[in-house]
Amino acid sequence: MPEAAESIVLSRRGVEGSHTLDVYLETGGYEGLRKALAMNPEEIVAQVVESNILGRGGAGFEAGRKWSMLKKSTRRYLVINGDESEPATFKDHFLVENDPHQLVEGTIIAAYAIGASRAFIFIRGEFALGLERVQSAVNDAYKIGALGRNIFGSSFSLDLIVHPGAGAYICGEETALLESLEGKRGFPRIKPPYFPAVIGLYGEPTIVNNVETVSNLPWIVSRGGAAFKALGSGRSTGTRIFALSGAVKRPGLYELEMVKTTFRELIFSDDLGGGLYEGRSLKAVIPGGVSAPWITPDQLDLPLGQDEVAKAGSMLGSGSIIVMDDSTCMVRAAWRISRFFMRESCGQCTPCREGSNWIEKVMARIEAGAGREEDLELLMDLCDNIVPGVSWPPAQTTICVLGPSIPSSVAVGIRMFRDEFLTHIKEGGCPFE
Amino acid sequence: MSKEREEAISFVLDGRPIWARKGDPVIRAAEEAGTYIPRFCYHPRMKAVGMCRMCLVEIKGPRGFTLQPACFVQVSPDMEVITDSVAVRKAQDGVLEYLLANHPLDCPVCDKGGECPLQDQTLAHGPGESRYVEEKRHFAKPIEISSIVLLDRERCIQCGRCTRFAGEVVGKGLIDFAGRGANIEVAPAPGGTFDNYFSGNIIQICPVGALTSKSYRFKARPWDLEQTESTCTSCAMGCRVVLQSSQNEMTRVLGIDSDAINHSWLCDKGRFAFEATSSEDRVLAPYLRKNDNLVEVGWFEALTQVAKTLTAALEKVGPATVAAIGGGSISNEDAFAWAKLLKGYLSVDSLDCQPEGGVDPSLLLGGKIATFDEVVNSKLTLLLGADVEEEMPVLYLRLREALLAQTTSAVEIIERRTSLSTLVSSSLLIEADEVLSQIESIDLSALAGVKVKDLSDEQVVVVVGQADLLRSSSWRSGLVAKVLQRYPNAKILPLLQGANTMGAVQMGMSPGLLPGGRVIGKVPEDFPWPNPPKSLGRNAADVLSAAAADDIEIIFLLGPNPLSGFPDKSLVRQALERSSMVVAIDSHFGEWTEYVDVVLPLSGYGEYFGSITNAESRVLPLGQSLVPAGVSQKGWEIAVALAESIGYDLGFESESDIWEEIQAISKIHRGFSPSLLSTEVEGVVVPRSVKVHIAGRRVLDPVATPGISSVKRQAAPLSEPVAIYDFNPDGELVDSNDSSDSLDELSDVMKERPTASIASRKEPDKLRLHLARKLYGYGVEVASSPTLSSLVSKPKLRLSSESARVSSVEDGDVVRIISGDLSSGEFQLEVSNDVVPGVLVAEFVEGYELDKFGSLNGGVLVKVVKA
Ligand SMILES: Cc1cc2nc3c(=O)[nH]c(=O)nc-3n(C[C@H](O)[C@H](O)[C@H](O)COP(=O)(O)O)c2cc1C
Ligand code: SF4
Ligand code: SF4
Ligand code: SF4
Ligand code: FES
Repeated sequence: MPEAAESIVLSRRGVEGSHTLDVYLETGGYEGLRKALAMNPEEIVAQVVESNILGRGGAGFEAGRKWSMLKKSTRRYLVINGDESEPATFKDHFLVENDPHQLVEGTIIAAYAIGASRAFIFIRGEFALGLERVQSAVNDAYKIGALGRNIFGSSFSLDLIVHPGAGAYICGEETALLESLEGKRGFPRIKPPYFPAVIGLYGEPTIVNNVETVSNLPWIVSRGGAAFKALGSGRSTGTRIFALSGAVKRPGLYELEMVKTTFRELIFSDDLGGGLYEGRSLKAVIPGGVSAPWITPDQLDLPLGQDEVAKAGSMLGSGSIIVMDDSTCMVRAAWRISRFFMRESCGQCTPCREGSNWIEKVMARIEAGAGREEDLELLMDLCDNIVPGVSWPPAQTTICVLGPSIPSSVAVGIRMFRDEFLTHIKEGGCPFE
Repeated sequence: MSKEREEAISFVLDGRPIWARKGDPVIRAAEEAGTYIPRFCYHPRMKAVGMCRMCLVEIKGPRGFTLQPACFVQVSPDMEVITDSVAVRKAQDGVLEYLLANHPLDCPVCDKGGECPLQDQTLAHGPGESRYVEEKRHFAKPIEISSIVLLDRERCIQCGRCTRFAGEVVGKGLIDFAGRGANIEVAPAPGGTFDNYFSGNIIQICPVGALTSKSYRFKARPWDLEQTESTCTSCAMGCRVVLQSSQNEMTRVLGIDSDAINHSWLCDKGRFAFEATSSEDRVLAPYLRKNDNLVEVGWFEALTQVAKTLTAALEKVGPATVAAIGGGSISNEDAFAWAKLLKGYLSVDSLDCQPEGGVDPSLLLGGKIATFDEVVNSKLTLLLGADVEEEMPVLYLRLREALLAQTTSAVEIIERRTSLSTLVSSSLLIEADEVLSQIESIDLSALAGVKVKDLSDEQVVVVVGQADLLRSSSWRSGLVAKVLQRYPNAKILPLLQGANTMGAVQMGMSPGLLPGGRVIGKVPEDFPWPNPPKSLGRNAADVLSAAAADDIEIIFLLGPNPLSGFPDKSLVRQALERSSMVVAIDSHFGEWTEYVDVVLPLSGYGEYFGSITNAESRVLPLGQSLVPAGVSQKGWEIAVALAESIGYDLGFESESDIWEEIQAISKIHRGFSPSLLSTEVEGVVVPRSVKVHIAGRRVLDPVATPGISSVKRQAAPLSEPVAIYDFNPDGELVDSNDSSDSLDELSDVMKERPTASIASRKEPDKLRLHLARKLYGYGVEVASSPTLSSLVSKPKLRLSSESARVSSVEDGDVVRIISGDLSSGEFQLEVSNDVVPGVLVAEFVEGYELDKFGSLNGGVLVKVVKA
């Protein structure tokens, strides 16, 4: 199991009643906030900049840098993104259910640091228990004076609103989330000019941060940015939760110091993934959620670091790692992922709406045994019309990056496992069935 | 024109430097430079959303050239744009192929076929064969978007133009996208439809054949249509339109994008009014009453009969026994010819183009008339008794946009709330009898949130409404006069009833007036009309009263039912019954036909060429797209023929003869020539001393209005920054501060009108009736167009809670209105504090006999009782 130093956001994992105020206070809860309120907002921003914590929502942008870019305005908002709806991503789900006070405390610290007097936590609607627990944590926080007017006797006041999502993956995209929060359809906005830090919620400068990102803040403020930065390496500092799933013996959440562990260790160490099932061999790994291109068994020694994985042509994304062994049909895997995007495209831009639909239909046909050889060229060209050159990082013909996520698995699947596609076509069916 | 000087900048388009207006999207700047970038979702009158991705071009940024939507990105100095690279073509072809993937192969049967941007793009650039072998999307056949619009969902390309129009332009987001991804579809809000005055616009802006009007659906193919530019005559806004016809039948009307007027929008009344032209009740030949029956006769017989009776009456009694009502809905040419015949030859002065009271001619001729552009850009717009959405619908859209964008701030003073009430800075509900004494003590600038020191009175515009049809014109002018005392240089915009009321007044169709604002007492020696009136005639209400008292023998009704908005129908009935001859120069049989003795058939909308002058005093062309029905004639031709039958020669053989004389005697029309109308797509404001904007004209965006093949505007490329010049009526450049002739010789004759007093309420349960003007309340268009008549709804009554309590009625009650012996039918009552206490607001809709309570003589007191 991870050592104490490596456990920041999951430190209360396994503690009975970890979601309650009592347990939270017993285990150092709200110390970070008290300390923060004794500091200037600028000092907190400086600590967060120093920590170099990268956003945990997928894009991996430095939180401190984002905060420093926030436009000046008399009204600013903070929005916490807990919409987590991507297949195989389940870290925020755990955090909202099991450590809601840590999230609330982190949110208050962030709001204080950026000068927001109103903050929102947007939680995926299906997380019924999480919603309930975060809401009671917010209620508790009001009761103990950690929210509302003059927090802990300081001059800082904050209202925090918990908002349930209405069931769309796209509302995790930060600008669609803001639209949704404003009561509109979850259509992503065009950046520029609609960078939330410039024109965000109700047109005001807004910071959107992920649940895990802000859950680190009580620790960072208590121990200092430098202590966080001492963990990890290079741009990837601190620890990070990896959600391991797929064909491993011990799937689950692992909070690990960044860069210090490799994919191989995560998958095969007895105290981590525990290896594959008997007699199985590794076929491919999706290193950072279903938007990420796959990596192959010969890339397993890559460390779990942001830039390291980027350099290898993929991304660490939301930290969800899916392991596929030799019992996995790659056509089926790519099809299922394309089906996810087809269902979740907001439908705004033509290439994403029609591309995801067309690609899914062709993939379904191939998997069902009705594929044609020319379908592979067709698929590659359809991908090209969403991501010109099928490049990585993807060039874009769409408004948001959901569109460019569509080709990742399909194009990579065809490139890596062309033979398997051809077998489906020639044999008129799926060889794995 | 109040438009700011537009700044020009230069950028690089496919390697060439290009001038563009700052703030324009790349797609538009490129278009004005002659480079067309394909598009679907972009519409020049709505905010860009960059959704369809058809307009992707390469634009250089910090990371080199990337594909970006040309409709969304604005030009900036030295920006580099590439529209013709391999990458651009690949991206655009890709989007097009995607759009076609799920698109049905309906072209041969689709209404849009032949004018469809999707079809055109596909023919120009599309793949020859479809690579899409999967099953296409299917939907059950069309769904109803509104009472007049249908949606075939499988044809929709999800461009969001219709949904954005609903939310952004109309502000009633009653249609939106439902579903996600490939299942996204346009849908009406649950339990609602997109029923409002503007729903037809979404048919016009849909870039494919997904939205159709129930009336046009499957009627004609675009390539069979002939197109004629014209102007809508359903209200005094004068929206620019093209009339499209096939085989001598009008099939549809589309809005032209005119900067000064309608921004391409039309209201549904204007869009579907054309149906009245081919309706069953058209007058196709002259009719004469013989033995109590109207029988069809020849022109000669009809005119001879009229001439005979007329000459006899004039000889026996004199000109005071002849009167004419109407003229606000016929052309300038018609109005002038009739004024010349009646006033210039027969000395008849009782000629009134505003039978319903309207706005005093002295205000129309002597005041400074604001343009629509000035209304939406004024510092302070005062809405006096105006319900803009009902009275001039497209102006409502423009005001709504301006109020949201804060280019103007407005204060509304009225007896009941309107659809602008929530958008104006202040909405004051004041009873009409009180407002005259209160208006002086109201701090208008404070209510508008404008600092007095920032406000020069030229920046004030007073919109004079006729929201309550029972208000008299003297009440209105009294109110306006008080505002003008405070802001002497304020401009006014009258919400006139007839499309050409302004023109008719300028042609002298009001008692006491001759063309050009000249008054009857002051005619110069060399005035070309032989026999102008010697004494002041009666206005329409007085004419009707006099006729009812047997004091008038002959009444001419000029134009399509000029009495349809007249609120006192029992007076009309008596008057027409009592006069010995009623001559209707009308295009339709209708309401008063049974009282008419002679019907002279008038050509209808779209059947003649000419001009009208809208409420902002802008002369606009009427186009002819049809052969006139039956043996109908233009109004001026009828005047010339009648003159001939009497023995006079008006001297007119063509419209240009008429204009020659207008120019000679009307000061207002100096420097104006109808030939200007063939080049000026925005028409020409008279008197002509307005600023002329010589900025390159906007190019017509073909996808903004699929179906309009071209209009007469030219694409003048911008070659240098834009300048604004003024010139005087003689064409010389003048200082822009030089004000126009004030026409102040309008004499006391005009001002000596008796002022009507307002009935005051002594008994608390007596309510003053307010007959609210409604867009579909009355008019030939509404009665004779099947689409429009289907939209008429039963009038509603509204009362404040205070008055409801006094009258012992409640919200939702079914009530009757009573007054003396009169009792109305049953109506549902809405109790609402959007109405000032003491006033009963009843929507005026013809056919519900509300007009039996009407009286222009200062309001009517009524009671409401439970039915
Ligand atoms: C399609 C899509 C879905 C996303 N879903 C989530 C999500 O569920 N949770 C999340 O935190 N970020 C999500 N993001 C990323 C957010 O847009 C945003 O970058 C993030 O919330 C910023 O927080 P961070 O800087 O703390 O990572 C998503 C992005 C895209 C394009
Ligand atoms: S890329 Fe897809 S999800 Fe993103 S805005 Fe476009 S259609 Fe919507
Ligand atoms: S119905 Fe027409 S205007 Fe509306 S979204 Fe579809 S294609 Fe666009
Ligand atoms: S606003 Fe008036 S002029 Fe314009 S379309 Fe409607 S009725 Fe016609
Ligand atoms: S994205 Fe530019 S026209 Fe649609």
